[in-house]
Order: sequence, then C-alpha cells, then structure tokens
Amino acid sequence: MFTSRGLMLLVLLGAMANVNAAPTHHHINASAIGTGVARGLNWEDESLQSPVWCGSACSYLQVSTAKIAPDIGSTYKPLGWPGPFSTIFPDPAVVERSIPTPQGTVDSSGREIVHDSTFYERAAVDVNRAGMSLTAKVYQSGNQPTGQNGTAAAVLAYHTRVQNQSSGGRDFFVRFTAPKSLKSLSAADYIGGPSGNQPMYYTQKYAKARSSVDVLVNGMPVWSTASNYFFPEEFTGGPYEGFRNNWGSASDDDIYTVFVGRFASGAIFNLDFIVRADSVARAPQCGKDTEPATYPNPRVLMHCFLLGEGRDLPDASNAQQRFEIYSKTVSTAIYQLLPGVIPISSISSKSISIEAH
Amino acid sequence: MRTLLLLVAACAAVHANAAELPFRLATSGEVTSLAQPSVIATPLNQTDFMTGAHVTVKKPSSNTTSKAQRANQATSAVYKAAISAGTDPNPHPVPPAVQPGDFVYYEDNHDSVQAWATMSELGQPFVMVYADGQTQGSATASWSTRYLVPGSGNRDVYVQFKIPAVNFGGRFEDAHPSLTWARMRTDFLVNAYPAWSTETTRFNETWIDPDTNRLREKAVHLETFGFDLGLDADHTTSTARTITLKLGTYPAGKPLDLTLLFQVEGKLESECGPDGGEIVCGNIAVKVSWDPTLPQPTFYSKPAP
Repeated sequence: MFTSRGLMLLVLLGAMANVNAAPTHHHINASAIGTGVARGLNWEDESLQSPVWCGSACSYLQVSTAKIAPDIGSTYKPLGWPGPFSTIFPDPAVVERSIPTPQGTVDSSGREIVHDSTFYERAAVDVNRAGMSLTAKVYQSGNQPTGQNGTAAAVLAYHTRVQNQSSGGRDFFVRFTAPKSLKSLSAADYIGGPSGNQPMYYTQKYAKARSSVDVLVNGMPVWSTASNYFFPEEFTGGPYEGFRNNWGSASDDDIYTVFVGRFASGAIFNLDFIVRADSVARAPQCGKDTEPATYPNPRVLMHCFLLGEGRDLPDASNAQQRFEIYSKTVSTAIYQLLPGVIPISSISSKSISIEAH
Repeated sequence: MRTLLLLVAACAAVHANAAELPFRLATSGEVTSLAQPSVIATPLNQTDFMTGAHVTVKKPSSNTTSKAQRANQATSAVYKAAISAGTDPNPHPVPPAVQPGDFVYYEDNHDSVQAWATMSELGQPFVMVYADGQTQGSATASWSTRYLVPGSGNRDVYVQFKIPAVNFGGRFEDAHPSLTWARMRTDFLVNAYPAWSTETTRFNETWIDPDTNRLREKAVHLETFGFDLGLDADHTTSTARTITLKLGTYPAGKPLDLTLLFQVEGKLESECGPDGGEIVCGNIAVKVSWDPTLPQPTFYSKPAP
C-alpha cells in the first residue's frame, strides 16, 4: 500500500549508505595557505617517514551546540564555556534540542495517531548507528504557534593549539575522514487520488538545508566541503524537486591528508575543525492514511514533510575516523625568482606571495 | 488541541536545557555604552594579528590553480585569473580598487575567470569572483588574532566590525544557457566556534520555452542562512552593516582566539559558444566590496556589573 513512499526512502538510504565503496585517500599540499610559504612535498617520501604524533604538543578545545526555533541562543556542551583544553582529541560532546511529536494520542474514533518522525524539530550532536553524527531535522514546520518556519541548527567546533616542540622546523599534517553528508527528505503524502491507491502529495511551501565542514589554519581554510538544498518560496516544482549543490572537496568515503606547512621550532598555530548543519522548512500540511477497520488495532499514520541535513563525525575510538595531527621533516623549499631588481636587503618573510599550480 | 500540544512541547523543550553560549548581538544601549571612559577599546592593529588571502580559479579542461599570501600585522592581497583566450586585463591585487575595465570580456577572453582576495592591515576585506563560461573560482580573506581580555576583574567583552556591501550579479545568455551558482560566507569565530555568521547563495532556475524549445532563465534566487543582510532576488546588493556582538563575560587576562573570515565562490556549468559572429557566455559575479574607509574591527572590555 505504501510502496511509493517506501521506495523513495529506500533510494535515499541506498544512495546515502554506499557501504561497499572503498575510501579514496586524497593528499593536499596547503602549505601556501597555512603559512604563506609554499613548500614542495613528495607524498611517496612522506609515506615512508614515520610520523611524530602531536601528543601533548596539541591542545584541543571542543564545543557542540544545538538550536531550534524559537531558541534565541545555542545550547552547548560541554558546559563551562570555554571549557578546558585537553591534550587528547576528545569525542564530540553530545547535545540535543528537540520538540517531540505527540505520542499516545488518538483520534475521535479512538485510533492511535502515529507520526513518521518522533520530533517536529531536532538539532543534535549525538550517536547514530555508525558512530557520532551531527543532525538538523525539521518535520511539518509552519504550523507552530508562532507561524514561523521550523528551524534546527547544530555545530561542532574543535579549536586546536599546536606547538612545534622540536628543536628545528617541522612539517605539520592533519589527517581525517571527511564527514559524510547525511541528507533526508520525505514528502508529506497519503494514499488516495482518483484510483484511491496512488501516492498524493502536499508540496512544502519553503525549505532549505545546508551542511559544511571547514578545516582552518590560523583563520584560513585549508580544506572545505559543503552541501546545499533549496526549495524557494516561489518555486513551483514537486516535493522531491528543488535545487541541490555541493561546494569544495568530495566528502563521500574520502580520507584526506593535508600538509598545512612547515612551522619553526617553538611556533604555535591554531588548527580549527568546524562542522555545521541547518534545516529550515515551512510545510504545514500533512498526509494522513487511516488503516482499515479490519486491522486488529487500526491507526492513523501521519506523513508530514521531513527535511534533514547532517554530517558523520570523527570518532576518537576509530582510528580511521580520527582527526589526527602529526609532523615530519619531508618537505623541500621552493625558490621563486622575484620579478624586477634583485633586492639587496633581506625580504620580509611575513609577506611573501606564493603561487601554486 | 494540536496548537496547545505544540506550545506545551515547545515550552518543555526550551526549559530543558538553559545553558546557552554567550554570543549575541549587542543591544543599542550596550553599543552606546562602549563609548564610556571605563571601557577599554582595542583596535585590531593593536593586537598580534595575522591576515590571509587565497584565491582559486579553474577554466575548462584545466586544473585548478591558486595563489595565497599570509602576513603578520600587514596586508595580504592576491589576484589570479584563468584565461582561455586573449590576455588578462588586470594583473594586480586590490588596492587599488577594481575598475570596470579590469574585468575579462567574454568576446575576447571566452571561458575565463578572475578572483581577488585582500585583507588589509586595518582589517578591511575584499573578495571577488568574476566568471564567464564554464569556469569556477573562489576568494577567501581573513584576519585572526589572540585577544587577551584587558583590565581587571570580570569583564564584559564585545567586538564591533563592519561588513562591507555585498553584491551578486550574473548574465544569462539565451544562445548558451548556463546554470550558475554563487555564494558569500562571512563567519566570526571565537575559539573556532561561529559566534556570528551569514551565508547567501545565488542560483538560477531555467525552463524550456515551448515556443522555441530552448532553455530560458525563469528566475534567480537568493537564499540566506544566518544573519540576514537583506539580500534577495530583488535586492542583489546589500548596504554595509556594522555588527556589534557581545562575546560574554570573562576574567581579565582570558585569551580568546578570534577570526573574521570572508569567502565568495562562483561557478557556471556551460561553456561559451558562438552566437552569430561573436562568442557569448553566461556570467556570475560575487563580491564583498572594497572600502578603504572601513573602520577597524575593535574589541571592547568593560567592567562586568
């Protein structure tokens, strides 16, 4: 009876799962962005040298936040902002904000009303089947007391202070599994129409979602990925249509090693890792399927518009998914002939311009 | 009944977790209070700050190329172009400001893209991508600093910065239609956490004209997450906005790592092509405007009540 809806969800889940794909390992030389000084790097040489793990040279500060309408501020964990720095990469702190859908309610005929989602709005950093994830979901919004859009937003931010504690310059690397985008969209539908047995839809009035991941060195992104979904107010397409777009690096089963540059002995730099997700929707109409009276305990099944966006997160207990920082001495200087007269005085190392091709 | 249930649920949810991060827009009274003599104002250039600028460009059948610059307490500024034909009309970063004649011209340069990124020694940004044909580009500029809360005892800490005018533009060519995307992001980070942010995306919608069976542009959409700068399909240029944030109350001497990051990106899906005797292409342009009179970002520390 509900084959169309089930199929749609199956397709979405299948597309998201992609469990058999082998991870692709990418190597990025971002030394010019990280330090302003581009250095050459042979990744084969890099792979042959043992890493020096950051250990106590890295101090991590982490915060997870969640926010749903009508919140003004963001609920956060761990409490006590800004929390203490840790020398061990901490697991994401679990945080959640949600408004539950009614449970145990019945209609005028005594039939239980069951919603597809257990939440109208939910923003969370929490544990899913695969590990940790960051989630922002909105269900049937637009029918709230305020009449405003439903919104959910979650953020996970790691702020790392890295110090080169060696006696000489070191090349610093960060390795991580790209947090995979976790999308979900389910239209408000019911079974009916002229045949009485076909899926009928209530199209959402407005919806949008985004998720992004950024890795920054001293305030400049050395790696980014983002995913967008838009269903504008003026758009006249169907409920599963809309506009989707990705920015930046691929993030499906992708592992990245980013060379962020060579830092002098004693140098301290910031390495930030920021994951965000937002969902916004206005979709007041829900589909309703009433199970036949011949069923033992007939129910009323509510199918409202559901929009979700999120990201898988690093898992400190899983080596493949850790956010790891290490150093080596493997890069080589790139000498660039500056245009014009050769300067007699030394050039300030603070503002050398580097081109990377 | 349903409304009542939602109201009850909402109230329950709101009170379930009361602890909130301290970041919020300052009230007008708080903004006025920052001029009081008891307040310690610290402009960006009185801190040990770092600037950065980075651009990437890509033309058809070529790899992405990039250019980056970092500086301590000085300007970072880069420019880069990927030119498919003809010559690059403007090889200099900003400042000086970009002039109308500095842009590539599709008839001469075909599928070409330009990107500028600047963060001045006074915290003034400029990021821009101008792209014709099947190209893409990005521009990023930031400052970051470690602010040690000055004074004594507990202090209320504020930051004030100005977001220059943001502008989205684009051109749709009926002869060579193209889907186009552009976005602008600005984030103010406190210890990596986005305490304030705005992100606007521009994209176009096409349809097939049944009379001609050709693709036409039906609409241009602008959608925003975070702080609303007032950009929409009818307002593709925002006015400059002063943002004053309260960052919370901290003991004097507390270090806060602060970053203001500006990013723009643009990309088009279709190549340029002939239309009669000339080459035509779609275009996308996005920028955070250059304003050499922009006031410095400034941090404020005042005694907590």
